[in-house]
Amino acid sequence: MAKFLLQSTPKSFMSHQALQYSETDIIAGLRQGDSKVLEIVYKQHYPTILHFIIQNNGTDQDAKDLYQEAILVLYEKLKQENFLLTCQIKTFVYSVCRRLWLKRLREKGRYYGKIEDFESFIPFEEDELNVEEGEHKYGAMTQALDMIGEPCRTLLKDFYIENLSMQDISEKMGYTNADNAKNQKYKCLMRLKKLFFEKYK
Amino acid sequence: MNLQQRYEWIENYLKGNLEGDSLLQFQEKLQNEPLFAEEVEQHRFFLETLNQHAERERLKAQMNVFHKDLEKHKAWVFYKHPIVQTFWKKHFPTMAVAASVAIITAIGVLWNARNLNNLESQQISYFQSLKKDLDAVKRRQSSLEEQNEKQDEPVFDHTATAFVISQNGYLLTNYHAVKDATAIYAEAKQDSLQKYKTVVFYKDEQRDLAILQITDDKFKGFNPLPYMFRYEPVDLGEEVFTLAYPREDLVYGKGEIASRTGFEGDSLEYQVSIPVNPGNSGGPLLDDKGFLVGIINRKHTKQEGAAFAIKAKYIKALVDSLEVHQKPEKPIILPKQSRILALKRPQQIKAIQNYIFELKVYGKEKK
Repeated sequence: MAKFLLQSTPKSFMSHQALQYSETDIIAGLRQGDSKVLEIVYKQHYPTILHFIIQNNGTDQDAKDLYQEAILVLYEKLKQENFLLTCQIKTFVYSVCRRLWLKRLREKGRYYGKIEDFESFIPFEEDELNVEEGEHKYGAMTQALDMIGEPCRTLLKDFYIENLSMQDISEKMGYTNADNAKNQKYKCLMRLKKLFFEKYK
Repeated sequence: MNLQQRYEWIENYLKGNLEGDSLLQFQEKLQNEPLFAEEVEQHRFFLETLNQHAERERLKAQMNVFHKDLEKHKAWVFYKHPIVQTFWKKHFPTMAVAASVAIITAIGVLWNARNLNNLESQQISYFQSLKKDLDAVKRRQSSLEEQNEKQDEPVFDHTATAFVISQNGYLLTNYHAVKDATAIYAEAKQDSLQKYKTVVFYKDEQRDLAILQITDDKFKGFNPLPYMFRYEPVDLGEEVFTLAYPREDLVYGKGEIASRTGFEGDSLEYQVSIPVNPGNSGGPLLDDKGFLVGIINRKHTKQEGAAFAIKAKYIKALVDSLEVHQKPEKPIILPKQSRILALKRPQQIKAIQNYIFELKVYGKEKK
């Protein structure tokens, strides 16, 4: 009797890693900002969204943009303590993407009244997710940060985001003393604030 | 307190770093001065946005790394992932069908490409010009010729049909019937034997039409022609008939207009359901009332009973174009009156038969 000498391929390594986490674990992980959990969630649901977008006249790039936006929405919602996720993560992400894609199609004038669905979804209201507000706000901030340029950007980032002390910053950026750095930081902050509110209003 | 110090104060308050008097003072100011409260709220919002923005940027950078990973492992993502497994399960049959269609198409294209030359020759042989090849005669003749070593003598090549279109001695036949002719004799042998030598006056390869002129000394002109042309399109199902010389004697064939287009959709032709044979080339096609509606020129080799006839409209177009291309010495006058309108078919044929000729076409011996 003959036997084929085939080497069997190893079983998937990522998916069963994902299966080790329950939905509750994942939500808890995301609330704590666990990047490992974020990775698992991210990799788990992308194919569904990619398929959905492609089937509805979108591209890879569209899928990526929308999907990342949806994950951010999920992430930010979970950070709010009073937010309760009442459906599966998959359903939530799919519903957000669906909502966003519908909106984008309408803007492009390519919406013909029909979306091909592959999953069950929650029909979100237009402004329920505050995505528009967020886009407006973060868009203004991105523009403002682009406009103030260096060294302001690094200075502000180090102080407000990285929470470095003025002493560390003045050493790092080569200011003669902390007060000098503080003055500079204040000027930068005021410029950024002005630019931001110009864009945001 | 200057502006800078004020903002430091606000930021310290927002961070929860104020204590004791400073905090009390701040809270008092917040309550009593709405403008200050607004300023604080605005600054809070601004700093919050700055932070959220940074957080988003950080997450996006992370996700981009995951995404690259995902793209790198695209293959396993699509095979092993539980979602993708259902995706495959759902779409495998469709994909399998699509793949097999693609494979079959590819093979088909390759096959076709290989057989292209073959195919072309097949296409050509789909129709057959209806001149009667006299292969046997040719062979006999050529062997005779070899014996006599008279190589350039014209050789009797084939026969076809032609009919009179102008009283003063013009006949119409097909281009393919006379294209290589060195000598052409037109014979009608019904009421009396008429045999005339003719030359090709004009030939049009595209329309497959040729006009012959009788050059014989003994030709004295025809009587007024019994038929006339009908240029308007003929309807499907209309009864039509033809008279021709597929053999030594005149043969009548009857059928209907089967299609308004001819071989492979050629709009020059009608398709008619008349049984035709080699020798029918150049035979007139007449409708029920005896109007000339076309000229038989070929048939389908792969399809029973499908013959093709060039439409009368194009005959007229050819004759009209002669005024420009090659003005005839004696004008070609197409008949303008029909004399067989009210007659029954046998009488019609009797009237027509003397205007239909068998062409005996001689060519050069092909080596």
